[in-house]
Amino acid sequence: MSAKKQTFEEGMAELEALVRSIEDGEMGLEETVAAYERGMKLAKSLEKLLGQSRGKLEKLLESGRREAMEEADADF
Amino acid sequence: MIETPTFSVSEVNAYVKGVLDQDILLRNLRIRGEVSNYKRHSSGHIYFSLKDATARISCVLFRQNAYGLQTPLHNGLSVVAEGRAALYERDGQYQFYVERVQPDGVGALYALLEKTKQRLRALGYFDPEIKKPLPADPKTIGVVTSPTGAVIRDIVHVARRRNPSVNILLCPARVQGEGAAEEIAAALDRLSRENVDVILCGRGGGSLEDLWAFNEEAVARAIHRCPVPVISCVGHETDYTIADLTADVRAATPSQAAELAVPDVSGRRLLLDELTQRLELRCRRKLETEERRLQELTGRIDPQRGLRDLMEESENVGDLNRRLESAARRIALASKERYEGLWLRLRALDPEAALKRGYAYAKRGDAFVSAAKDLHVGEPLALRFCDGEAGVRVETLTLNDEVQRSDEDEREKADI
Repeated sequence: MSAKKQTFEEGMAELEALVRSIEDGEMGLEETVAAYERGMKLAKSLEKLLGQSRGKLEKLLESGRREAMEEADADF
Repeated sequence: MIETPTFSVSEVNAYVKGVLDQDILLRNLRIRGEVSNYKRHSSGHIYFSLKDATARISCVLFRQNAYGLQTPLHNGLSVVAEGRAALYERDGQYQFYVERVQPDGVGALYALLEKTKQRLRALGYFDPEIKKPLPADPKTIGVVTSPTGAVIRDIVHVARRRNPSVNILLCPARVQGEGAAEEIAAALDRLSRENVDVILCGRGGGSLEDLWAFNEEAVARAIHRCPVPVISCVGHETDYTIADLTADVRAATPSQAAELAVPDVSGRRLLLDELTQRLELRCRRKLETEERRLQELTGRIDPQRGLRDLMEESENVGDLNRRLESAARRIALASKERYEGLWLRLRALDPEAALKRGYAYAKRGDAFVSAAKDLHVGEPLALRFCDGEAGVRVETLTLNDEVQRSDEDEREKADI
């Protein structure tokens, strides 16, 4: 299963299932560690999807080109 | 006589222009009338006539004033125009130079609005069945509004707050005045060809006249044909513009439009944080539990503790050994003493030993003779000494009486 193909919600669902299954306490140590590793990897990519990267703010020009708009963060 | 002067055409027109210009009333004039002969020149200037039942006045609306026009003009529209009347010297005609123009009363606008609504409703523009659902997870939102002002700022602000990774693509358009509706429609068309998931289209609040572009059919048509879901946000609370009715979703304000367009990920972020924490916590606990179990298990074969046990054990063993040894020694000693005693007693019983002390015993053939009563006179016997045997013959036989004999028996036994 590729994390890139997963949508955000699918990733969240998998992470939730992982945590639940660990909390059930039925897992052995090795399984738990594997689940932990998978979960942390997943959490990291989900974090990224949640907007660690800031979206672009652009303006369409008359010429058809795009121009990045200034973001006066102070105003926002 | 005074000769009547002769003037050139230009001189007369200039003179009349001067006269008119000096007239206070004509300098600032308000005229009610109906628009006719409407013509928009490529230069941006607008030419039309104002008429009533019996007369007309030529009007011109220069481009710079046309831009500020809140309600687009069209033939038949009753308006009140404000401006000045002056002579156009070239044609020798006077014109009305319009600076501001508004529909004659809000009633007229509403009537127009109702007419457009009815037509579009009949075309199915407002049907709920054709409303497109909003995307659940938009990557890019398109915005049609003025590039300056609070609307785009509010949208960017709200969208960023709800999901910072969302892209925003603005297609600028004037949102009021002559030609605004066409710009808005063109911007919608253009954005719909871009890779946007939803389009926000609107402006801030204002009077019915301010918002008029959003009541124009051009905008409604552009929204209607737009393949991307459109959220209208014409900032007014009470009345829906035609754009609002045609849009897939109507928002009261640009901020609300951004809220509708961009799902808030802060809740998901909180959940993600919580899940990550739980994951870490549970795994740490699991490890700790396993570690305790391991310690418990290894504790039983703890080398320190094992050695101690072993030493204790060996002490016990040593003790036991010592106890065993001493017991064995005692037993051995007792056995030796007993053996020696037995041996001595055995030795005492050895007939040879008695022979060495000077005793001899009698044998008849191989048999010992232990009593005189078994003997007969003249019988041959062998006497055994310590160093040899002697052949003898019984000469006399005297038996002791009973008592004497038993005393002798006792004495003999003790000796032996």
